[in-house]
Amino acid sequence: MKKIRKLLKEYVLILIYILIINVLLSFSTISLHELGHFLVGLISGCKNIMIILFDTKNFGTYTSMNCDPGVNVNLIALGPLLFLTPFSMLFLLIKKPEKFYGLMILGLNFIINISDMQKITKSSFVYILEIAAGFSLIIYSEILIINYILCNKK
Amino acid sequence: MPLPLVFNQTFSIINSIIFVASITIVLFTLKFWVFLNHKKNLYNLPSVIIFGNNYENPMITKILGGKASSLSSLNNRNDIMFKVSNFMGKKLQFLEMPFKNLEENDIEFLNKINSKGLVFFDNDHPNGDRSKVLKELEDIKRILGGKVQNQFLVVNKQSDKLNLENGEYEIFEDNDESMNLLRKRLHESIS
Repeated sequence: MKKIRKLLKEYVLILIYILIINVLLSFSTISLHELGHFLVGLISGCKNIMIILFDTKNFGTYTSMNCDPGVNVNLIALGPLLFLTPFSMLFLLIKKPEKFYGLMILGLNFIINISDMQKITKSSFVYILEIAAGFSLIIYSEILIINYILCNKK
Repeated sequence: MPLPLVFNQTFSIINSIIFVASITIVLFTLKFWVFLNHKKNLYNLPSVIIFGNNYENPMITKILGGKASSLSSLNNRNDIMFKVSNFMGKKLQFLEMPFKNLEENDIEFLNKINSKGLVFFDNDHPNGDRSKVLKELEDIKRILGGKVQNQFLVVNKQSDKLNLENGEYEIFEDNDESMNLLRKRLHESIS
């Protein structure tokens, strides 16, 4: 009984620890994703740019802006990918386990980016490819993070 | 007239957190279960420890055939290989690691293993340098605290075998015929 309780305690503590890391990572990725739209919108000369993290109407997260009619919408839609991909790659230069966080950020960004992709292309192949790449990266990095924490626990 | 643009996200923050947390809970539960089972087996199963040097051609493969797995999923080390095998009707675990540069935690790890046999594969001393090989074997015995009763030494050539023979270790050559003999002796001495 004592052994089971000890195991359960260990399970819950490590799970909470990993959950906190992952929740922080997803929160940061979403914020940085919106920042990507914001920065590219700013460079493109758009006005009234706003990042909404929580909207009480539908709990949605979005970036809104007013741009000149000639603005390159595709570029603003791709902003987060252009901004977050090199950022997440930087993590790969750091040692473990931070290295794995970069893969997680990249995977999350792919998944989050699908709605932006709909502004650029109607090709379902691109959506499927992005979902597959995003899921694979999230699951792979998650396994690496869990493995690292389990192997290095005291 | 300015063009209003809104970039909605596929998931809101709350949905993303729920999404990531669900993946984490499922994967962690699976991984934790596998980890516990693996750990239980690792320390409980009767084991043969192999000190080898050649990782392109591990000794486990020579003795058992097939492929050995890396123990990295348990201790983050890529240079320890293992294989659980039904060895001539007996469930045995084979662990292979380099002898050189053993650290404190490796020794701790080796002492936790239920080791029944030891195979030392010597391919570092092609001329059968007796004193060096015997010194390494002594070191191993000391590390394992004299727990392992069955010790086997595998050498490259017949001349090395003759040079090293002193009755204390069973010595085998690194060829198919000798490997068959080693398998038989392992089975006899461990069962």
